Amino acid sequence: MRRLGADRILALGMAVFSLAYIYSAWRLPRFTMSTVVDADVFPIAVGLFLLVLSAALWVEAGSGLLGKVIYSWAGFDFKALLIHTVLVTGFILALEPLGFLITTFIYLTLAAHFMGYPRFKVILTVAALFSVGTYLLFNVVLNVPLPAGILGFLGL
Amino acid sequence: MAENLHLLMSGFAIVLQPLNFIWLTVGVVLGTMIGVLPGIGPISGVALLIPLTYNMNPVTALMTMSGLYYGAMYGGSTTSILLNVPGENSSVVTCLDGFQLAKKGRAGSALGISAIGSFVAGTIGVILLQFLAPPLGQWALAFGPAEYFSLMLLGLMSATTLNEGSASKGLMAVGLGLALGTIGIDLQTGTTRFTFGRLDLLDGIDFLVLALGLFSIAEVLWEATHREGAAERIKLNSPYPTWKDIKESAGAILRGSSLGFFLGVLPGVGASTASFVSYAVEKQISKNPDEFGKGALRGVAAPESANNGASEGALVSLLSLGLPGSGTTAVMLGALMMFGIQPGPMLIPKHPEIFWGIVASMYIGNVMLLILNLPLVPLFAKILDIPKQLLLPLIVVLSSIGVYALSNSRTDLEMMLFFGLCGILMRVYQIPTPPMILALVLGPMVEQSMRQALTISRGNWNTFVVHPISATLLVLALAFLLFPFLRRVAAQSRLKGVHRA
Amino acid sequence: MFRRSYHLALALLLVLILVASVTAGCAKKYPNKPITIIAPAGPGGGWDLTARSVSKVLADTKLVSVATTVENQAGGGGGVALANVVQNKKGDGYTLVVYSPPLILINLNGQSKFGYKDITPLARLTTDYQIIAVSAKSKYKTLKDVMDALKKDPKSLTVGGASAPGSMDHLSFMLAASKAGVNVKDVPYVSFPDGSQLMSNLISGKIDVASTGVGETLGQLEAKTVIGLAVTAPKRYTDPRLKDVPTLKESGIDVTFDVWRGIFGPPDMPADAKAYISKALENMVKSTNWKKDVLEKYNWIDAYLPGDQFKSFLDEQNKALGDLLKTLGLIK
Repeated sequence: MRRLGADRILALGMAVFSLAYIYSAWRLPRFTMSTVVDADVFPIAVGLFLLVLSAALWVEAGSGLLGKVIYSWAGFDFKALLIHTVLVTGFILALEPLGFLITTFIYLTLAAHFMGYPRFKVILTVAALFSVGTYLLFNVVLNVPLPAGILGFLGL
Repeated sequence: MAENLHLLMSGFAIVLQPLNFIWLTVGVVLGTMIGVLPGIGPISGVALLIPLTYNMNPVTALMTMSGLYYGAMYGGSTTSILLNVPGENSSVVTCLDGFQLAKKGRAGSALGISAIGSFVAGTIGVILLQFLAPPLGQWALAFGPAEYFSLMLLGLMSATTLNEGSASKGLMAVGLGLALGTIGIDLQTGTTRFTFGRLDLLDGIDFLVLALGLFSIAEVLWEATHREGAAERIKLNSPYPTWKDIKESAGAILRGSSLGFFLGVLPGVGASTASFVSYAVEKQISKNPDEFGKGALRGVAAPESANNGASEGALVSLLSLGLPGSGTTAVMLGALMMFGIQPGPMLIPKHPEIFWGIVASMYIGNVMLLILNLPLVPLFAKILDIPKQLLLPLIVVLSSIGVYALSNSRTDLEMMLFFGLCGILMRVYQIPTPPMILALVLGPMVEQSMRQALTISRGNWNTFVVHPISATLLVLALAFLLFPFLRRVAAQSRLKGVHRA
Repeated sequence: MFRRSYHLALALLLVLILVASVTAGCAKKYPNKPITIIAPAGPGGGWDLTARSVSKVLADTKLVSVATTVENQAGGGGGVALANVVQNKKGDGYTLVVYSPPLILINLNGQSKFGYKDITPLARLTTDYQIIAVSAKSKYKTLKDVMDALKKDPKSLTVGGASAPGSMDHLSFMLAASKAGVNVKDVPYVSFPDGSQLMSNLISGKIDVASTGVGETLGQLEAKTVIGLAVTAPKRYTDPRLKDVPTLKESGIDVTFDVWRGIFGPPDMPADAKAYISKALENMVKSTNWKKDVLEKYNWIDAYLPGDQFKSFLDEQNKALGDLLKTLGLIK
């Protein structure tokens, strides 16, 4: 991707965001009691600031001031990004219903596997020790409860 | 003076009683541990201690609690440096250079310097606390909304120094951080802003969620998508900082310590702001500002000293005024009341043993922490021996614990992942992330103090310049902004002079 | 080596699961596992202190046979914890939660769709009151001075509190002022993020009047850096630091403002659990531990009410606070 195009897209995207932000700030309800600066003023100012910056970036992108660096999507493994985003999403969604122990164990195993670590038994050992160890450390020693999930009947 | 020395000696006598000494050890060890572990910060740490202190005498309890508080500041840098996972709010900025140093095999230097910096800051802090507590408390009272606004604006100006490359992109990051900071209930009107009807957004976005997303999660996803170098291990050059390292960072440590302490005295400013500001100052006055963000040792020394300084500064207003300046000291205030002691301006006159006991315990506690932390350095540095493919998933889990323990909310985890993906985009498009985090920290304070000041002045903007402290801070903010420019001009004219000669 | 530790880990997990399921299998009568008391805010505030005090006294007096642990669940002025209790803890006998007037306020102002009607009131425990205070250097010496100045010109003074408009600090002052005949809509109100910043701005004279919880001011009253003009209690405090502070009624304004704190259970709390906890709380408030270690230290006033009476009290409060918010134009 060439720099000019990419930065102009960024500038456009930011301009759209700032306009939406200004609009929703402008629509905030007015405060009915005495106030000097209402809740909408600062957000509108920030929105305008961002809008001006979008324009500045648009100009800057065309000026060649930023040099000719090409954005580094090169060498970017989109499949790996997808896999790991899905894994982290799964971890987050399963954490409360399944509980920390099971979720962490499964996540660590799969993630390390997809990262390309060759020795599966080492992965399993690390995953088991880390999930049990961390869980006990937080729940028993530090009294900071991590979700128990379906193992809640354990009473740990 | 002689009387104070006597009181300090009696303080030492209290600390050296076996039981007190043991509890102080427990406090600092637990503090280090809590500092190392993401997700459990000094606030919850001190809260955890409360049930243990029910049957103690108040001096012992307070000693243990403050030991835990500053102990956490020692440990906080560990995961920032090794894993790019901030262990505490106040260690977010340590990631910037700490992690880069670790990548270069200088984890030992970084960890060692942060322990030494913490020790120096801790000791300077306790000296200042001992001699200046009541007058400094009065000084803190001079700071009203106008002064806070100018101070926070100065902090925000420092965000511009965290910038690299395109100016508009750096400022964009600041703007985005400010916009994120407006989410939640507005304190001045009670209006709910930009929460999309979600309860969990009412308190706004915690900046640790943003920091863990932009730093840790983005780093993991980035590494996962760039597998070429994944198998190579980092060579650890030296397990300990060298004399050269220490000499190099001495100035940063001293500046960070005092800046951190004075900022910590002001209620609500806190260790995270202090660490950011001292980093920015260090970068600003450095001869090679370009080194920062690529592994400058001073970029670790300054914030790590500042957060320790700030944690001790926060004790000033608690002990001399009874006004806790931070979340942790607020919990300590509750603990004092549990012992039937009313925190307030009368605390030191009425209970000198508490004040002097704490002061004495801090001298000893800091030495204990240095002795405890230095041998841990090579041990922790070994973490980097874990192959990356195993380490990266562990970072995700650690960051998630960090976020989840904040409020037990899944929304925060989802936001962390979202910010992680944003972090990838920002890397590709070369938008710097640190200014965004700093803006999220300072933005709400800038906005609220500005509006408080204007309500008080009935809308008169003069209020920011007629107050001398506020005016001075505004001038400093301007100087901060112009400094790099002025220096360039100065350098050029010097260059011309050389040519002429 | 790896094989052995791998087997070991698996075996360990299995044993853990087995042991625990056996212990869980033999169900006993209530209570047979730890009880969690939720403080709907972070450590350090009134809810947290109440939750921790209840937990401590219940343990010290052995009124509850199992451990009670405190869990901080901050967010949305208590709304996050409320939604959690209503949605996820229905019918659970092992979760309790501490609340005070914001429980009603966040429902009235629309921040939370849930309210006190969705959870089970078990007991009102304590009452705290609000105080109106000025700096020791202030030219205003009585509440009447303040109100007279505000009646003449509502913008002549700046009032500060430690929470946003529509919450307790704001409402308690505006209630008193509106009863005194002040045009409250024009009174400038500044809110600070915590009591410390409020107090330091009051002491240094940046704001003229502070309205906040009595507890925030005790240390300053003791040092005489701050003077209390009125408390919102029905009668004066007996505490030496507060005994010279008149009530609103004595100052000619016939209102009170309660900061009650109570314990609630989840919706559809099992009858045995409800009875057990109610009984334990009833006995707890009679204990000397409660009086000595909690009420005296924190300057809270005993206001015990059992569940059903607490419920009707809440109905009254709901109506009164709703009316006040409407008068101020903060809700429609």
